[in-house]
Amino acid sequence: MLSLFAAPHSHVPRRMPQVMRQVMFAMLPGIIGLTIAFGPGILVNLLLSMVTALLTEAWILRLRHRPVGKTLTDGSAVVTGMLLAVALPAIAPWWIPVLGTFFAVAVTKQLFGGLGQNPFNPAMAAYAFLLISFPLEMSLWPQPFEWHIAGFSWYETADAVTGATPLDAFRHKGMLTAEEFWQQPQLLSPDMVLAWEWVALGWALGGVWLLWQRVIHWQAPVGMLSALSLLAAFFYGVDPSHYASPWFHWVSGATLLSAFFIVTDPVSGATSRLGQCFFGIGVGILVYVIRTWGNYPDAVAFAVLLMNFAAPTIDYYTRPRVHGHRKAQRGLKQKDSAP
Amino acid sequence: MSQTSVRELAINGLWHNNPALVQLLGLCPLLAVTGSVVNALGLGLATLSVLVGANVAVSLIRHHVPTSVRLPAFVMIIASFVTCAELLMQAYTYSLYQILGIFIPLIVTNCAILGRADAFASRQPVSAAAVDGIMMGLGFLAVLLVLGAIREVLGQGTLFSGMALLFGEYAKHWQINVFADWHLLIMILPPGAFFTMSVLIALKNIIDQQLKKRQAAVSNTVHAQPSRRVRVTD
Amino acid sequence: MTPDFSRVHRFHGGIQPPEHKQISTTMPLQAAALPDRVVLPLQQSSGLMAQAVVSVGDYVYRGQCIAQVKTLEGQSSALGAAVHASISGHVSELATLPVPHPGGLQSPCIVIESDGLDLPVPDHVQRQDDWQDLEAEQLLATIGAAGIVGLGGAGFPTHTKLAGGFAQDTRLLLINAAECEPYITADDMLLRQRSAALIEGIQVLVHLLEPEHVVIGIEDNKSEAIACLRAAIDDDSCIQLVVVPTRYPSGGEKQLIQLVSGLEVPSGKRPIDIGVVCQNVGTVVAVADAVIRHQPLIERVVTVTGDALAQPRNFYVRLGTSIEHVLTQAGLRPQQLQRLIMGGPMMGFALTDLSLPVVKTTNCLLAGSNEALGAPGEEMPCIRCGECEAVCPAQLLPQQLYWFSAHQQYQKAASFDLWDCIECGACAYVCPSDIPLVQYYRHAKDELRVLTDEAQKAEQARQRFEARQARLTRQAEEKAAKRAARAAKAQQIQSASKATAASQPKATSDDSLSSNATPPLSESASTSSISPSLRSSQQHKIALAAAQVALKRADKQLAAAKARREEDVTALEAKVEQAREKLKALQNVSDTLSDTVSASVTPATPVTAKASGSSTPAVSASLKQLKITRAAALSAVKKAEKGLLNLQRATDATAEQLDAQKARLAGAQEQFEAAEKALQKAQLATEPTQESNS
Repeated sequence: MLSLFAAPHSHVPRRMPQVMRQVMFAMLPGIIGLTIAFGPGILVNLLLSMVTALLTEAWILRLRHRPVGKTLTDGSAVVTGMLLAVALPAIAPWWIPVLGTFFAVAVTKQLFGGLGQNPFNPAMAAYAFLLISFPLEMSLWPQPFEWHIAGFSWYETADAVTGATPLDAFRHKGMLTAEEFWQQPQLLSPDMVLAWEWVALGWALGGVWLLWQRVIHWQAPVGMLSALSLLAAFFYGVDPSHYASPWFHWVSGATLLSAFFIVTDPVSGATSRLGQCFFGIGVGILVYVIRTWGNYPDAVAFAVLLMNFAAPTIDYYTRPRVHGHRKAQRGLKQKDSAP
Repeated sequence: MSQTSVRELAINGLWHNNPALVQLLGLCPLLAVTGSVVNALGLGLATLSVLVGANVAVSLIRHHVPTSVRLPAFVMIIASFVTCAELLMQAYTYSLYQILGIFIPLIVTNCAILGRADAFASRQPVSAAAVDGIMMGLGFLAVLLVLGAIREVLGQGTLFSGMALLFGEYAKHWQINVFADWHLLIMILPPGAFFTMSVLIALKNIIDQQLKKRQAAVSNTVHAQPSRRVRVTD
Repeated sequence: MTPDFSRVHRFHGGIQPPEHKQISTTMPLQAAALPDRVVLPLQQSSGLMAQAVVSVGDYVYRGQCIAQVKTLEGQSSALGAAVHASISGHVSELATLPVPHPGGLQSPCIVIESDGLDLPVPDHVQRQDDWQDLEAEQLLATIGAAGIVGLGGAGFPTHTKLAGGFAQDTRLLLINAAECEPYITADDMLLRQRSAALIEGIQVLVHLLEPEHVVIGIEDNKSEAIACLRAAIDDDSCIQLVVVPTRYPSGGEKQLIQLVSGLEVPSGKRPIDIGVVCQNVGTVVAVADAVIRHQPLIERVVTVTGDALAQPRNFYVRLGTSIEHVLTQAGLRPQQLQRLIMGGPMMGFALTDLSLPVVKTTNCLLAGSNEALGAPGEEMPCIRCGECEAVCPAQLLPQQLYWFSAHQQYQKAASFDLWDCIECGACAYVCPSDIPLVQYYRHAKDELRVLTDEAQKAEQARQRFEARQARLTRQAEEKAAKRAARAAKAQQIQSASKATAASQPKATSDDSLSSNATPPLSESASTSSISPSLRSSQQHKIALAAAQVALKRADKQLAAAKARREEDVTALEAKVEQAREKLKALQNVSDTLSDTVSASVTPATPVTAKASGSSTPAVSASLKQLKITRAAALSAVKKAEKGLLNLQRATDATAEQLDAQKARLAGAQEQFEAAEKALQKAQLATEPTQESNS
C-alpha cells in the first residue's frame, strides 16, 4: 500500500522535543556552576520543579480533556520548571519551587491555552509571583563555597550563613560610594562575586552553544546585552561612585541567564528577527532602570514581563515587506480585507 | 407579595444574578477592601444598607421621576444614603472608617447599586424593591465575606482579626490563628484578589454545571422527550 | 524599475535541503522502451480541456493531433493545449479514467493501443530551417498546434504566454534552468545532451519576442550542464548565462527573476506585466523541436529516482506511458516502494496507483521508502519560533497566516497577503512543530475562492433585482403619464366643445319639466356650468321617468286592489289613466328633444323614483341612485366621444355634424360632472335630499 501524504515530503531533522532537549543540555554548564557555588540545593530545586511541572501539566491536561502523554513528551513544561528552579535561591524551602512551578505551568501556561498560547514567560511570571509573595525567602542566598561546612537541610531554610546577592548588597550600600563599597568585604564578600562570575560564565557557555546550534538567534541576546551595557556604561562614566559598572551588571543576577534563555523564549517574545532585536533592547533598558532606580534588586523578571506586554505591538510594527509590494504594512491599523 | 416571588428574588440575588460573581459589578471595592474579614464585613454592611435604602427610595418615587433625568436622580438618592452610612461609620466605627478610606464614598459609584435601581427598583413596587435590595446586598456581602476570609487566611494566616474595629472590644477574642507565622503576601495584594475571585467564579460555574446535569438527569427519567414534529395537525 | 544584470541578487529566505541529485545523473539520458498502451488525458494544461477529434477504432500515427481545444463562441482563441498521439496504433477507448491529480480525480482520456511500429505521420515535413521567414502569428500557431505547455511543472500553454509577450514589450527573456527541487535532474540531463537545441529554441523565441535581454539562470550545482551551455552559447553572445547559488526555491519564477535582475513581480500581476517572459528549458527545447523539426510534444524527460529503484536515471518518456512501465525500467523494487510522488519532494503530490499515465507536467517520479522520504510527524502547537518567516521566499508571515487559516479568519489571512504565497513548502519544511502549513494555506485559498464566488453571485442577483425594480417603476410611471395625458386631452376637448355648445339653440319649455325636477339634481345642476338647454332636457327626462314610474305604480295598485277584490277601484283606474296620459305627453316632447341630448340613458329615473315617494330609506337609496346616475353619465360621455371619433374618421362628415356631435359630447360630459358632484355631495351630507313629491 502506498502511503498518501501531502507536500512537502521532506523535513528538517530537528523537531520541537529535540529543541527542548538542546535547551536543557545548554543549561548544564550554568547548573554545574550554581551547584559548585551554592550547593546541592539547586539540584533539589531542579528536581522538585521538574516533577511538579510534569504533574501539574498532566493534571491540567486531564481537566481539559487533552491527550496527556503526547503533550508531556514535548518537554516544554520541564524546561519551564528548570528555568524557574535555577533562578531561585539554593536554600529556598521546598514549597517555593513547588508553588512557583505550579503557578508557572497551571496559571501562566495552561490557563491561557497551553503550549504556544501564553502571552507571558511562565518562568518569569512565576518568579515575580514568588518574589511578591515571599520576599524574604526569595532573597536569602547561602554563602558560596561554604555550603558543605554549614550544613544542609532538604526541606527548610538551612542554618547556613546567608548573604545577599551582589545586586542586593550594592543596592543597599546606602551612603557609601562604590569604591568604599568594594573595599568592605563584610558587605559583599569577594567569594560571592567570584561565585556569581562562574555562574555567569556557565550561562554564557550554554548560550553560545545554543547560538551555534541555531536553536536561538542572536538578535534578542545581543539587543539586551548591548542596551544594558550601553546604559550602564553611560551612567558609570558619568558617576562611577554611585552606579555599578557594566561588568557588574553582566555577572550579577540573572543577566546572562535571561539573555540566552529567557528573552529568547519564542512563545512570549516577538516573532520577526527585527522584532526580537527591539524586544531585547527593551528588556535591557528596563533591567537597568529597575535595578538602578526601582524597588527590586533583580529586575529581569519584571523587565521581561513588561516587554511581553509589548511583544504584539512590536510584531505589528515590524511586519516585513512582502515580495511584490511596495512597502510594509506597519502599524496597529491593519487592512482588514483582501487587496 | 407572594411567597414565590420572594423566593425568586432571593435565589436571584444570592445566586443566579449575584452582583459580584455573575453580574461582575462593583469589583473595585470588592477587590480592594477584602484583605480581611472585618474590612469586607464593614464595607459589605454599608453597601447592603445603601442598597436597600436606595432601592426603597427609588421605588417610592418611581412614578414621579421623568425618564430623562432618572439616573441623576437615582445617583442623588444613593449619594444621600452613602453619606448617611459614612457619617454613621465615622461616628461609631472610626478606625474601620479610616481603614476603608475612600471606598466608602465610592459606594456611590458601585454599579451594582445604580444598576439595580435602574433595572429593578424603578419598575417595581416598594416591597419587591426592598426584598431585591436585601437579597442583592446579601449576595454581595456573602461574596465579600468569602473573599475576605480566604485572602485573610492565606495572606495573614489569621481569621477574624481586627473584628474589634466593628464589634467592639469583646470581638478581640474572635481572632483565630489558622497558620502561625505565615505570610503569602500576594494574597493581600491585588493580584491575589483577582486570583481568588477567578477561583470563586470557577467554583460557582462548576456548581451550576453539576446542578444542571443533575436536573437534566432527573427530568429525563421522569418526562418523555417532547415531540419534535414541526407541523402538528390536530 | 530597471533590471540590474550586473550581479546575482538575493531573495529572502530559502532553504538548503539535501539534494539527492547524484543518484540519478550517473546514467545517460536515454529513451525509455516504448509502451504497449498509452493513456492520454485530454486535460494536460491549465485552461480548457481539449476535445477529441478521433473516435474509437481510428488508426493514429505518432505525432498526429488527436484532441484540440475548441474556441468558445465569440472568442477568437481559447486557453488550452492540443494533445497528440505519442505512439502509433489504434484508439481503443475514449473513457473517463484516473489521472495523476492530488485529489485522485478522473478525467476524460484517449487510450491508444500501440501497433509496435511507431510510425510517424506520412508526408511529415522533417525539418524547416527557414523558420525565420515565418510571421509571428504563424510561429505562434505552430507552437500552439504542437501542444506545448510549460514543462517546468505549471503546464501553462506556451503559445498563449508567448502571444502575451509578443503583444507587449519584452524586456527580459529568462530561461529557467535552475531546477531547485531535490532529486530532480531532468533539466540537468537535458542540457547536457541538447544544449544546441536549447540555443535554437532561444533563437526562435528571440525572433518572436525581440527581448532586450536574454538570460539563462542555472544553479551552481550543475557544473556539467553549465559547461555544455557555455560551449553552446559561445557563438551567440547576446545570451547571458547567470549561475545562481543553490537554494530552494531559486527556480520559482518570481525568485529567479529577482535573482538575475533584481526585479520584483508586483503582487497580483504576472511577469509579463513587467516585461519578463520566463520559460523552462524543456519548454524551449520543445519549441525548437516544434518549429524546426515539426515535432509536436509527444515525449518529455522524466527523472525516475528514489531509493526504491535499483537504477535511478532520466528517461525520455512518451506521454501517456504508465508509471509502472517507467519505474520497471529503472529497476523498481516493489517491496521498498512505500511512497510514490509525482514531482519533487517539496511540491510534488503523492500517488497511490502505479497504472496512472505520465503527463506533460510530470518532471519527476520519486519512488521511495518511508525512511528515506520521512513520514510527517504529528502536528504540535505552534511555538511562534519564527523559523517559517525566516525562510519564506515571499517574505510573508507564515505564522500569522497559519493562525488565521486555522481559525477560519480567511479574510484576515488574505489581508496578510495570503495570495502572494507560492506554496513552495519551505515553511513547512522547517517547522519544528510539524504543522502542515501549505495545507492550511491551500484550504484558506479555496475558502476565499468560494466566498468570492458567492459574493459575485449575490452581487449579480442584486443587480438583477434592482434592474427589475427600475423597470417596474418605469412602467408604472409611463402608465401614469399616459393616463394624465388622456385626461388632459379630454379636458381640452371638453373646453373646446363647451365653446361651441354655448351657441346651440335652447330646448323647449322648462315649465313642463320643472314640476318633477328633483332638488338634488337641480341643485347640482345649478352648481355646475350646465347650459339651460341641457338642464331642460335633463328635467324633461326626469319628468318622463317619473311619469313612467307613476304609471307603473298606479297599475300595480290597481292590480293589487283587483286581487283583493275591492269594490272601489274607480279611483285607482282613474289614476292609471292620468298617469298614462302624462307619459304620452312627455314622450311627445322627448321626441323633439332627442337631437339635443342623444344617447343619454336617463339616469334620472331612479332619482325621480325616489323623489316620487318610494318607501325605500332615503339616504342609501339616493346614494346608490346617484352612483348609477354617474355611471350612466360616464357611459354617455364615452358614447359621445366614440361617435365623434367615428364622424371625424368618416370622410363625408360635414362640419355641422361634427359640431353637433361635439356639442353632444360636451353635454354628456357636463352631465357626467353634474352627476359626480351630486354623488359627492350626497356622500358628504347627512340628509342629502329633500324629497319632492311627484
